Amino acid sequence: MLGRGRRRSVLACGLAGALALAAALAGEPAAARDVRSDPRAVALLRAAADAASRVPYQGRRFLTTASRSRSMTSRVSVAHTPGDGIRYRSGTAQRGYRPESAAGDTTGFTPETLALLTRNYSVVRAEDSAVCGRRARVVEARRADGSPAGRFWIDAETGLMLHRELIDATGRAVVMTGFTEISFTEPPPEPAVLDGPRNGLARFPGRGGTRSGGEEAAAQWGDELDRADLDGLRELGWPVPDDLPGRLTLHDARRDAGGGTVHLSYSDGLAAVSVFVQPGRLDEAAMDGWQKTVRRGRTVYRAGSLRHWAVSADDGYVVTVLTDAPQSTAEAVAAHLPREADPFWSRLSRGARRLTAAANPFD
Amino acid sequence: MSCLGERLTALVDGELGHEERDRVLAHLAGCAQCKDEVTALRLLKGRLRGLSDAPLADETGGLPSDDFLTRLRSLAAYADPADDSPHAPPPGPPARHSARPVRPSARPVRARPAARAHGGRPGHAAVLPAQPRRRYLVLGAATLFIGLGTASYAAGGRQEAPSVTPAFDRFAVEHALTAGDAPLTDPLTDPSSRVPVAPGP
Repeated sequence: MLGRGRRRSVLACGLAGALALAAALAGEPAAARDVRSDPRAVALLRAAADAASRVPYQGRRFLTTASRSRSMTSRVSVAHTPGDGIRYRSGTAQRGYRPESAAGDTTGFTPETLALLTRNYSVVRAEDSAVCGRRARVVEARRADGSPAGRFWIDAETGLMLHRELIDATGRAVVMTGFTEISFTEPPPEPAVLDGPRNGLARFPGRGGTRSGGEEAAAQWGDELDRADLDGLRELGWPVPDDLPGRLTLHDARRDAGGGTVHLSYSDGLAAVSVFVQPGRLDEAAMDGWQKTVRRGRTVYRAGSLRHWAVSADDGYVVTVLTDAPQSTAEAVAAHLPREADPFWSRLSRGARRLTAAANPFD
Repeated sequence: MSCLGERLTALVDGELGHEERDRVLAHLAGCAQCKDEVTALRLLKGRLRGLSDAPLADETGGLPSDDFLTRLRSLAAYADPADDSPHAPPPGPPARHSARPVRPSARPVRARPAARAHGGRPGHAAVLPAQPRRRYLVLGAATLFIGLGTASYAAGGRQEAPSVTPAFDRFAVEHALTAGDAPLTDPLTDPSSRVPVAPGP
């Protein structure tokens, strides 16, 4: 009798152990097992973000996006003074500003997106090359099949990222950005422009200069949303998925000053996709000139010149997708965002709250 | 069936004459079966009395088993010759009637004492309104529940959303900030800055 009991307990323990082992194996993400990165290559990318805020420079930058039929380029002059941020000036006298705290993001990497890059791609060193007449170390992000998906040129002397490319599955560069000219000299100080007090920049502390471009954005999009905020939005019915097709993962979310629009930043480590969600009905009259298509039963407006845009409106939310990646990505994201059907119980409880509020004389 | 038949129930109800009662009691002294039956009948009578006393204590309802009580009373009504003597009792399980044989001559109003205690109303008439009342209560509660639910569902619909136009220029700058590009408006919203170039290789 005792022997049988002992046998049973041994069997039960063995079964539990086997189950735990199976669960542990299944729980390990497949991507983490498959992708191997060169730590030196990853360190180069990480150091490039540091260099971007440490090294003073001035020069000219470009951004080119290419599709099968055409490509578009925008060019700006750029000047970085460490501690004062980066100032941009375009040919059309547009001015932009990137606060110093975000200077490292000019590499296209934040710690979060770098983690996504190493999760989805294998990051390795390639043969050194030359950009802007300077020797550059080359880092490649490769897909599981070994084909390159991104390539980065990092200045051998300063560690600054000089050039980067996103490459599609056919081997064609679809997004290219970097310097066309660069000199590592401290730019002359910006003339002080007195345009009133500049307090209230929630996202980045204000510094001297005019308030334009990034400064406006910094002030506008100050409210960073954490996981609890996002869960709250989801309960209210906002389409805020954690993942999107194409291994795009939500890595940053913030709300504009008015609280009406939420900016969701997705990335697979290489391609940056912004999704702006705002409650409301799309004013279709304002979409004149956009191409109207229907995908997955949803009307999607698309447009693109330099960047690619897609706008869809459904279930009481207008979703604007903006990306440098190919147009198909923008459209797929706009069409695949979850449809938040109004759940029965949430609608019921919302109605009960409204009725109670209407009937409550003390409200 | 006992040896004494209906006389046993008459004994329990105290309706036997003196001599008849003595005879029955003498028989009971020697017959265990009849004695058991008398004990069972007394027990049943006690229980029935207990049941019929309950509404006195709690006039407004809250009866633990209205349905059971009503059925019992209606059984008594069938046995009542004053109600429906020309009619035969409705067909039903024979066991029901054999347990309470009809005795038209001996006790014409025997089934009503409990009802009389309420103030002279007939037995079944005293209890029957309790069931519709309960039914109305349930019906009312259900209607209220469904009504409130429907009203809540109707009121819970999303409000007519305002018409919006996405602020494309602001979005372009914010996207560029997070993507690492120059935070300038996109050529889409600033056509003068477009610089078309030849298609790539």
